[in-house]
Amino acid sequence: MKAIDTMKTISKIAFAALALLAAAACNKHEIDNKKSNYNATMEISASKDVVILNEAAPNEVALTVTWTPAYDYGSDFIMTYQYSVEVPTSKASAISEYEDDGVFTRSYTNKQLQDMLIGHFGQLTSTKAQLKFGVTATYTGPRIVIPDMSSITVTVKTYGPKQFAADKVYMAGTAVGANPVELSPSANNSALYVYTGNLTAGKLNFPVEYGDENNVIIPASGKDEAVTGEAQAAIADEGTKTASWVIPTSESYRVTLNFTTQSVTVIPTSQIFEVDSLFLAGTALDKETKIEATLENPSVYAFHGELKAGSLYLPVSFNEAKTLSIVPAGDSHDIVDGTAVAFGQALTTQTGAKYWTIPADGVYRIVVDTDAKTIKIYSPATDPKNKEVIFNNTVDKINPYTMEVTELWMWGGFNAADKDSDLKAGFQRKYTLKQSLANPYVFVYLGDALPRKSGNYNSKNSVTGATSGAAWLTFLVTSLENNVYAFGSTADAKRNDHTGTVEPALGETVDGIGSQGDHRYSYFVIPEGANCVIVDISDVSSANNMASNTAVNAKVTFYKR
Amino acid sequence: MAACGGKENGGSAETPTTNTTVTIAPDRTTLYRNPFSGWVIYSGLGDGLSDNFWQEYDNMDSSVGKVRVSDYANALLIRSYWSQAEPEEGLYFWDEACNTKPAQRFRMLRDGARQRGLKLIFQLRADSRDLHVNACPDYVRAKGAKGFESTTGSTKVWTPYPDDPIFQQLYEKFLRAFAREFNNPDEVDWMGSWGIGKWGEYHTCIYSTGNESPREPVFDFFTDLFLEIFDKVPVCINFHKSIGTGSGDKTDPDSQRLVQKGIDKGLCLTSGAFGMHAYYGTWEKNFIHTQRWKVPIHAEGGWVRASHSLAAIQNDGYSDWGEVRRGEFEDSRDACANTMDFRYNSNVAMSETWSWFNDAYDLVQEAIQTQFYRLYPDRISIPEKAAKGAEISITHRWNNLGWAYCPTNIKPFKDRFKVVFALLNPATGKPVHMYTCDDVKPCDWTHGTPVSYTNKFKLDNVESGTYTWGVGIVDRSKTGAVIGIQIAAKSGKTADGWLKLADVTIE
Repeated sequence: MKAIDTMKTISKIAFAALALLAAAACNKHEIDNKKSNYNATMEISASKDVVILNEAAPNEVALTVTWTPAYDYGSDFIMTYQYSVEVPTSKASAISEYEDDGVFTRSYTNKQLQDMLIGHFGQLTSTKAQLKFGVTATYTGPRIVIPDMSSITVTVKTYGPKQFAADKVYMAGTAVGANPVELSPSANNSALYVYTGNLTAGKLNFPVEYGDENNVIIPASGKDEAVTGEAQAAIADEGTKTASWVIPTSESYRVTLNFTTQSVTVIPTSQIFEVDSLFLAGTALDKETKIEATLENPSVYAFHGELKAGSLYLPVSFNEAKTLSIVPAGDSHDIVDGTAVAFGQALTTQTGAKYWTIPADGVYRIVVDTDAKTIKIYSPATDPKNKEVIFNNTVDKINPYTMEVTELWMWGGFNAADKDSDLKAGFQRKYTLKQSLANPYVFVYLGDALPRKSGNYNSKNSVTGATSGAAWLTFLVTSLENNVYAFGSTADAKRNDHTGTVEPALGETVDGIGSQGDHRYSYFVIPEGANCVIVDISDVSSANNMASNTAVNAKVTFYKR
Repeated sequence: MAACGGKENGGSAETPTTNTTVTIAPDRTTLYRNPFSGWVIYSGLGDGLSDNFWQEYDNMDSSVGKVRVSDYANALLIRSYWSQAEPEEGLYFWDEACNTKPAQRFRMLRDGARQRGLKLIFQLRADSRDLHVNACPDYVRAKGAKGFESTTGSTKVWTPYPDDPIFQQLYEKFLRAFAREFNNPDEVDWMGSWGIGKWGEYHTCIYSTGNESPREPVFDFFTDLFLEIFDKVPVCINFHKSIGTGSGDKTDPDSQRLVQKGIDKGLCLTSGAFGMHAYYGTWEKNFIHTQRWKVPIHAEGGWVRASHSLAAIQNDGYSDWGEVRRGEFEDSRDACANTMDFRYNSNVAMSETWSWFNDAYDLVQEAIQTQFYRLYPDRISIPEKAAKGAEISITHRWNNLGWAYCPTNIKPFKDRFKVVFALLNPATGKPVHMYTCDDVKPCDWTHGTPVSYTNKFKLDNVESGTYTWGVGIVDRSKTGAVIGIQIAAKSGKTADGWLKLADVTIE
């Protein structure tokens, strides 16, 4: 205990020496490093190097810190002790106090140290911290004397709830078997431990090693819980606890232990479909080939190209791993030609037994719908052929002129007759619609918001009467300026007489009419902000693909994506 | 009361004088309400002041829970302007007959300060700029004072030229009335400003001449007036580099001479820009370094949470308001300031006071413990036995744990506070005989430099018996032996504040 004694008697002699101080204090200060350093005698010590705080004995003294007196330079000097405690790694300021009563010791109970570490220094429960105890003796007197300093660091482990943290992680329980399986952190996220593989029906929890502790991660309820396929709250507890997640059936699962969200997710791999990118693999290809999501639907992936007779499966890349692959749902290796069928999944390591057989070399089209979880494989026999249209090609002087529709050009005043340098007025490659790999009858533009200008887009405007209001356009099958088959709107129009427009809303699908006749002057008005256009010409047929057609044979939709 | 001095040695052959050495532990934490020292709570008399001012300040949220702000402060500063203080000619807000809202607020503040042991400080204004009302009573203009108009928001306000003779005559009359009420050190700690120039800080001045030729005459008129009428309480001048000029921030080469002239006359210092690197910069710091421990300094911060954006303080090098408070604290430490500010906002949670207690509570305490002056004798050699009539010797060493000094050198305090040793009645703790150390000046005690003295006294007219030696710093303006400055010792004091040292037997 600290004693307070303001009347402490030191000596009973008249101390005339003090009288000298009045003059001495006014003298110029002189530094005496040598003497000061030589007299650095103070030393602080602690009763223990390592303290494990005992929650069961809060009032029991856990640590005593003591220091020896600093050198006494005599009554000419005032010596001041300042004692401090700090956690060097903490942002919290040091706790410091002056010791004016000559009590050179401090004792701390378990609870005092716990409260100091948790409450003031922001340290964690059940964790070791470095507490630095220091004392500084400063001198005030007729000359400057360098302070004497001493410090000692003690490792103190707090009590309380276990930290949801681990140096090593294991998977254990009857679902795993007799031998726990050590898990490794994900390569790109050290807080994530993922296991994908077979589990047997039974119990599952996660023993962890953390510092000097052996803990276990169990359901937050502290009781057994059935797995739900969703993230389930988890806690770390004493390693003796046995609460577990319950695995219902023996099959392949993906187990995710997330130290950031403090949760566990257990889900059958058959129910998982997570994809960052999709690939084709097997003997049907010379090398693994990435396939792309379609512009019109990012959930649909499509391929159109050469395959050889052989095996085929589709590795699914997710979180930079291709753990799973798309394979036939059943045991058959046969493709269901041109028909969408549900696909299955298997560990990529097991695709030696799970694959499709490509029957013969040729051009195949493969469409994977990751939302519907279906796959459609077209053989050369069933692969849809491009649509054809027939018109009078007055530029090349061919009539009738037949061409496959493989792209569409936006045409109208919407871009104020802006053009690429090698093209006629109004034509810009950036405003073309690309043919979908999933469906050759679908044409897609996805890019910057379409301009909504008005202007003189046709050099023969004054002759043809083709005037344009703001944001007008049609879709041409080629970039010929004059007399080309075009998909216009259903608005009434007459060449050299009057134009017409249809103004679809964003997301609204409207009819289109492909022809070389008056509907070339029936325009669509681009909705404000549209940056995606889809034109579907599935309805083009031999009955309506000629220049004189007036029947609806297309669908047009503007989107803002 | 006996005087210091006398022969070198005392005592008789039969009863030699023997001294004992007493060491005294400092009290580093208690808040002492000493003159011109400590935190200052800001308030005002306008509509922005909450009717629940004391309730809010008695229950301030802080980072350590609810606090009573007055437990940390020494004084209450009241900002007011002339038309509030004198709503009708000859009627003043301290008059019982005055029942305006500002007068009601003043009574509320004055009563609350008394109840909480706070002294008052006033900052007056006669300049209307940035106010939505005229700072001067209407009768000033009606009587012919000349001035100028300015616009605050959509309101036109009028300000007299500081060199206008009618204004000066009427303002002097008001100030003399004010001084009759408040030139009272028992209630008022110090006067904050004298109200001329923008915000009353004597810059951005507009004179009747259209130039700055009246600058020094105006300076002299008001400094002389204030120092004459407030001779018992200190008066401050805002020090900055644009004293009396038309500018608010340009360095005027004559400013330092004028401020020094004011100091030499007896003015103390204040600044309203602590923590602002642009307005409390090199000029101010270089100047204040020449004044430390010579004249008391009040540190008022410049950044205002309710007015200045986070971007503004970040442009000044701070990342948040906690850093602004630290910046103010460090400027105050650098200046060895005697007092610091808890500024007010009607939205308490937006006030600088709230910020101090929530963003920088440790600095609030740090200032109390190590910034404001804190005096104690660490070692005293004093007789424990002496003969009646003997000449005794007392050697004593004094320390100041604060960075601010105790301004007993300024005119209102000069010869007022004296170190006195007393023979106390052991039973009552009352002084029976007192011995004054006239040569001991608390203003000489600065941080880190203890000062020792030896004083000799003759124990004339002392009856035989046992006494207790006591020491105190007495306010000699009071009758009796009233302690005027509290000694920061841990314990062993009488109820009246005498620090008990040791028993002595007079034979």
